[in-house]
Amino acid sequence: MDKILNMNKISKSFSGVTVLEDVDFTLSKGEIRALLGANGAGKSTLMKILCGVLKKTSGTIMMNDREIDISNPQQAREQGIGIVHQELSIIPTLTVLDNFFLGRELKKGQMLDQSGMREIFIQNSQEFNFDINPDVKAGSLPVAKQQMIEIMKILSQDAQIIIMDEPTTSLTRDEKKNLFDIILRLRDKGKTIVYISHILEEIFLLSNSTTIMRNGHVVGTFPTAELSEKSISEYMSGSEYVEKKKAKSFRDTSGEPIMEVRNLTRGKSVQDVSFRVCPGEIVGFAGLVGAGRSEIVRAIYGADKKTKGTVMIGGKVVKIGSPKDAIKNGIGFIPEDRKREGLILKQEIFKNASLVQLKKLRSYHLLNEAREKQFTKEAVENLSIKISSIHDPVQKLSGGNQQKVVVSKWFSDEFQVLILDEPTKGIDIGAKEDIFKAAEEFAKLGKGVIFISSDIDEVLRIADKVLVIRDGKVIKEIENKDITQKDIMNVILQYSDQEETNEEDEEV
Amino acid sequence: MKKMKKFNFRDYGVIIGFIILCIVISIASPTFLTTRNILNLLRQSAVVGIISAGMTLIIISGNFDISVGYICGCAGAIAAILLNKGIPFGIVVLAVLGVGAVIGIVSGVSVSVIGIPSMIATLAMGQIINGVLLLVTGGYPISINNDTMSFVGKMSILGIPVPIYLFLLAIILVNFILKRLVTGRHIYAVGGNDEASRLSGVSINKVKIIVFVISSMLAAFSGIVLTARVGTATATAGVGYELDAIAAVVIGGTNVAGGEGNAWKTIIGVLFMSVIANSFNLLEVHVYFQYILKGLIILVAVGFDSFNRIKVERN
Amino acid sequence: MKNVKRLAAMLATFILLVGSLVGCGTGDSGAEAPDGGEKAGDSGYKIAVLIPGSVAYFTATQKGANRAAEELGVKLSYADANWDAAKQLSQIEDAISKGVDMIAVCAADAEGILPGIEAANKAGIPILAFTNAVGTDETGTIDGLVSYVGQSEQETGMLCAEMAKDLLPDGGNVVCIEGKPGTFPQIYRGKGFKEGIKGSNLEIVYTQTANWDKEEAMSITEDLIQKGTEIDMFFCQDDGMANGVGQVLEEAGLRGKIKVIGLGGSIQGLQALKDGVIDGNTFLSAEEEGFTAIETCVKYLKGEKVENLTLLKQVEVTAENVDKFKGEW
Repeated sequence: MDKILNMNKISKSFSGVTVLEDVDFTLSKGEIRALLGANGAGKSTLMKILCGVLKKTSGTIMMNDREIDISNPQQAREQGIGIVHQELSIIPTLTVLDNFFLGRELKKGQMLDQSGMREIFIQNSQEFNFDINPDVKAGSLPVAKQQMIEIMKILSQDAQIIIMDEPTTSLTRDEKKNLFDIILRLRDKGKTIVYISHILEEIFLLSNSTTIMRNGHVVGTFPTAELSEKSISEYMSGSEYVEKKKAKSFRDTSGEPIMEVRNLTRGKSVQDVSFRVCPGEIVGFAGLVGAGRSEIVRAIYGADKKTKGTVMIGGKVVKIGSPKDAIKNGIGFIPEDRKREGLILKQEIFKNASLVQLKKLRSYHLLNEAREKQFTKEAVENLSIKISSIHDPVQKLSGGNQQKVVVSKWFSDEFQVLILDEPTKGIDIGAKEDIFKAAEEFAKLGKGVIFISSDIDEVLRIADKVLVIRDGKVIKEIENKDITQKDIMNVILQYSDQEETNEEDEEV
Repeated sequence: MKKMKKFNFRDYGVIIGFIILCIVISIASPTFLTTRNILNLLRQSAVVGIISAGMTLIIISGNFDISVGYICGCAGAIAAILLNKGIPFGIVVLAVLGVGAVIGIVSGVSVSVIGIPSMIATLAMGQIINGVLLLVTGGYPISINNDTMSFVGKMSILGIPVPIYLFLLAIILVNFILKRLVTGRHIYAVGGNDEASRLSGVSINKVKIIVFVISSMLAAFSGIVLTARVGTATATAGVGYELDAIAAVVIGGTNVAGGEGNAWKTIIGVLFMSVIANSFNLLEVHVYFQYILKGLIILVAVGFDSFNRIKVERN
Repeated sequence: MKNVKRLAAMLATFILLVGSLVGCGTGDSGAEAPDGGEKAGDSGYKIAVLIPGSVAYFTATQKGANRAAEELGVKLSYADANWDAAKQLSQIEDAISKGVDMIAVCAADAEGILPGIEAANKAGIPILAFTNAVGTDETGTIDGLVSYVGQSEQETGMLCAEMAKDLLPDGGNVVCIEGKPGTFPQIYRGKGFKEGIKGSNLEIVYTQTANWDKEEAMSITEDLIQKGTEIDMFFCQDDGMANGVGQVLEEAGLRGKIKVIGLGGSIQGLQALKDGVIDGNTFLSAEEEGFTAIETCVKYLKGEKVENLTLLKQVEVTAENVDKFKGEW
């Protein structure tokens, strides 16, 4: 097999800090290569160098045995390297056609050549079997379709190497299947694909071989067939793999539930949800992306307004109209999007950590930074947060450590219930473990925990009972005893099968 | 120890630059460094300085307020009217501050609860205040003959003009709020990321309203100082001061995007602007060039920060 | 480090700009830089001339002032307060700091200037007012002022009254269009006019301010015509507003029926008189005013006696003698 790409002894440093060291990365034409590594391992940096966003400090890049220079994205494109970023660069207010030709519009003289562009678009979509209407506003399309536009764009620029960075994060099950079909089709057409992902299931499904990185080095490149979850985990973390299962339960079902939700409704997105949380219990919310789990907890927390329903803490009905009320009543919330909802990025770490507790950390009604810093230092220890100084802006930290800062905000006895919404999204294995530990610590102290995750294995690992959610409804409540991921998926699918059957009955 | 060093160096940069500016001007004009001129300069900065102190809060919270110039002029006129009616000075001050507070509540509610962008809301408020003022005064200037006002405007304590003490007081007040009160921390939080603040239990509406109330009250107070200095309240007093205040805050180094900054930086910004205005008078440069220069300096000062940020983001 | 670089950039901008401006001369608004101070070296006095705002009138005033400076060998420095009383106060304070020998100020606000006069007195720097009267006395003089050089607004008003009586010997309804409320000219021209028409058959039926603005005067006139009020004459406190009124009346076909008088003697105003758009005007040389202001300053500095009122008079201009006058602004 020809070597289409040869990255040799690539190193990269930022003002004296080395993030990549002597990395060798080669690709054979037509292969699908998975690229794995914890956050901070260097895989994003390596790919950014390949597609021209960053400049390498040293090393050589060869394509088809010819040395090339990639100093900017334009040059990467010219060499046939394209990347579909995790955050799409689609302009929502422009049409699909406009987006497709953005930056390289065809002109007839001085004016746009609309018909010419349209023709090319149709050619391209037929060739790769993409079914998208060129005239709708890109923003009105689901993320999956927007992603397709980006892929199409890259292909139309004759990309030979296509890099995909965590492409399935916002896709539904069907959309994922569709994407995998596209990827396989591309391979059949002779394209080479680099697939970056945390989701091992996908990697096993798609890739021929897998490159694993750790701490700025390549640990090795292995045929995917020879890898297992165990070996991957060991390579990535450098430590031995331990089978993770729900260990001890701290649930106390003897007395009053610590929180009870009755008939919670919010328009169409949350429908008549009721459940209980016992002291020391971890309740897992399982479901697919878009099932409405975040909407449910946000309605409980007062982040969104509910239309109906009651929330009870310790047996008493509480009125929650805003996050401030929720906090007063002892409910804490770790939101899904930590950068946008959980942290003030440019502020110091200790100021972020202390924000919820400010009033309690005062002395004589005046702010007491010494106390805030003490609080933060304790949290840093408890959660093993890797920082250089609590005075640094929190945006300097890696994703996992940022998430730990968010968690640390709620370290206080006054909280009875803690809600964690996708707390492990986008963080490395080591940090994930610390988050699980933290959740279990809360439960140990007799608090109630609601744990939302799209990774069913995670839910099964930590929850006492699982609420399966779909379309804003609780379709089933299951005790976490001897059940597997398949069982949960079946519940979800049964429900949708049931829905389809109902619809068919109605049509008849 | 190391942490302290890092902190101070960044702030020193602003002060060093200011000192260089003063050196350059004192070479160009021998009268610059005289006691008389320096006191003049400080006294002339007081009114805009008090407004700038309030504007610091506004900008840190992520907003703008372009009605403060009108508030200043209007407050001066109200003070003049009330004093001429024989109402004691202390009550007049309270009344004027009260008017400022009411204006601040209206602006604050418009921006927070109703959600009008602050630039637009305060633009409209400014027009309303201006209109009310013109109606009330009929466009006529109002002269004042009051001993306390004369004291405030023209007298000195220990050789330093009274307005300077008032300017300092405003800065100390704002600094206290920002650094020592929970509300101050909340102001930084809201300016840094209001959604994250809300989800952390901060009442962002309350914070925004408080910010506008304090700023408007300070602007109103500055109107009293202005009128005391000039001895008359005119309908056009204070116009344009909002831009000077924003410029002072921005030149001082506070980030226009919100979430960071402090009161001491604003002082440097105010003095910077005053030194420039003063130097123009001493060097006999036409006042219109001041507008060009002010604008250029704002572009350069803010442009520098923005450009650096873009460079960092793209790297 | 970033902050230092930023400040450096700001300083560089400042130094470049100011350096180039200072190099170009004394920075007056476009008029030639006087070499007076270097050439004649006669008396070597330094006089600060403070203008209230950039209006064409003061360009003419400056011409006259510069001429006087050259002839008498004094050095002038200019500052423009852009109609802000507080700014003018600062400019007086700075002039004192600089150590000028005398200050000649045209007030931006008749009463707002008082603290400035006080400050000059306290510092022992003589101060003189020109063109815009100060204080509350109708003559425009107050204690502490060396002199007021300019017209007596009241007399000007009375002159206009005479013109009105000549144009309407049988009397009639007069509408007064005034300048910015509260300004010295507005108050006293109006007063003088009222005094002057006492005893005649002229009656003021309506008074409105157009803030010295031609457009505003035109709007007011249009509205009045709509209302159909009985009007025989418009008296405008300056000829710019009068010009506007006249134009509106011409377009409405009412020029023959209604008289219009203004005052001041601007270029456009005199032309309007020539073209028959208005019926009467006055003239006062702004250049002479400027010249006299500096002349008076030098007189005082040399120790000669100076009256506290140095009056210049407006002269009546009619369609017959209009060619004898040349507008300066």
